[in-house]
Amino acid sequence: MKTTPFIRLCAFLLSSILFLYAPWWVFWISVIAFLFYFPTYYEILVWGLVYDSVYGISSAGFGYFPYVCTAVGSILFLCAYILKKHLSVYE
Amino acid sequence: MNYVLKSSIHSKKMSLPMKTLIVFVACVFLAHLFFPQVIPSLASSIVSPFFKAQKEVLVGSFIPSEQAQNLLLEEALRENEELKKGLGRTTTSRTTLAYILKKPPFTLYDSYIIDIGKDFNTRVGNKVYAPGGILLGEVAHVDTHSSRVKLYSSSGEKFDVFIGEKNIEAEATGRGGGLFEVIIPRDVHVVEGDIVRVPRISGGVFGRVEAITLDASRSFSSVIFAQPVNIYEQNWVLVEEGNERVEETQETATTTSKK
Repeated sequence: MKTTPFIRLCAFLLSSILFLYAPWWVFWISVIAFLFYFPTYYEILVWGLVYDSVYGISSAGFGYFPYVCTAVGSILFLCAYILKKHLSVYE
Repeated sequence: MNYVLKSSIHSKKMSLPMKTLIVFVACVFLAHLFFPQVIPSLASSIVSPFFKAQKEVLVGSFIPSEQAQNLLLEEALRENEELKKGLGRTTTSRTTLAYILKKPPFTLYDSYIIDIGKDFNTRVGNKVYAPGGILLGEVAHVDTHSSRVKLYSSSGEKFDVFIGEKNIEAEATGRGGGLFEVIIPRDVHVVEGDIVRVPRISGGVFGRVEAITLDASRSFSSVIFAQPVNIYEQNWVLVEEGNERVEETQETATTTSKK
């Protein structure tokens, strides 16, 4: 897939707006979509960390782990990396 | 003959994405270990202007819901009768009004982001109330100009409550979305509509029993109660400053000294 810096910048701006003003599930769906659109989407790691920094609280539902979204972003990045190696569309 | 070295056949270097991931995780771990407040403070200071701009557009009204008012009136009348027979202790608590910048479903957890922080002497652990005095949660994280509030209805959160007129003590567990669950022995007499309170001196109305689930095969029953306010509709909250203070009235002090 061909991606230009302009498209990447637009994706970043869209993610920023959704991060600030959209429900959490809208933001994360868009980030996951970008993760599979771009060959290597490092921004998901940063978004996970920023999300925990701004919205995160140590909740009993997650075992009081303070970096839930950071961990989720890292796991998604790893899964996408492994999956893309086997998909011809990313060659 | 040329023999290819075994190591050159199987040698594989780690790819850049994997190296990046490992370095990123290591940096986050070290930052949390040595500078735990740097990243949250930096992120909050960047997004705060955007949240406050949204607040300027969306400031709502500060009126308790009708359901909350009725519930508080019932509880106030009951408490008034009890206090008349008591020792005349009074309580005072100072609160600060705060606007909710972000609330569910915009936040992933059952939490609020409010517009007061260290600038208004807010501290971790300060209780947070809805208009009308309904306890919602407590402050979990404080930044310079904002704070994060963890609602007690967050999934998995546990705390002690009293149920009904007999003040049956039980442990409530948050189920998310403003709902709570209490597991009590089946023989305990609890009915729908019973008021749920938290251990406090001044009333502390927390909710009302909505449903009771009985299972004939089990010796326990599940009580579901909800708060009389909708956490998704709140725009303002009151943040308690420090701990609730208890003062004795002059009459009580005089009576005690005579004895």
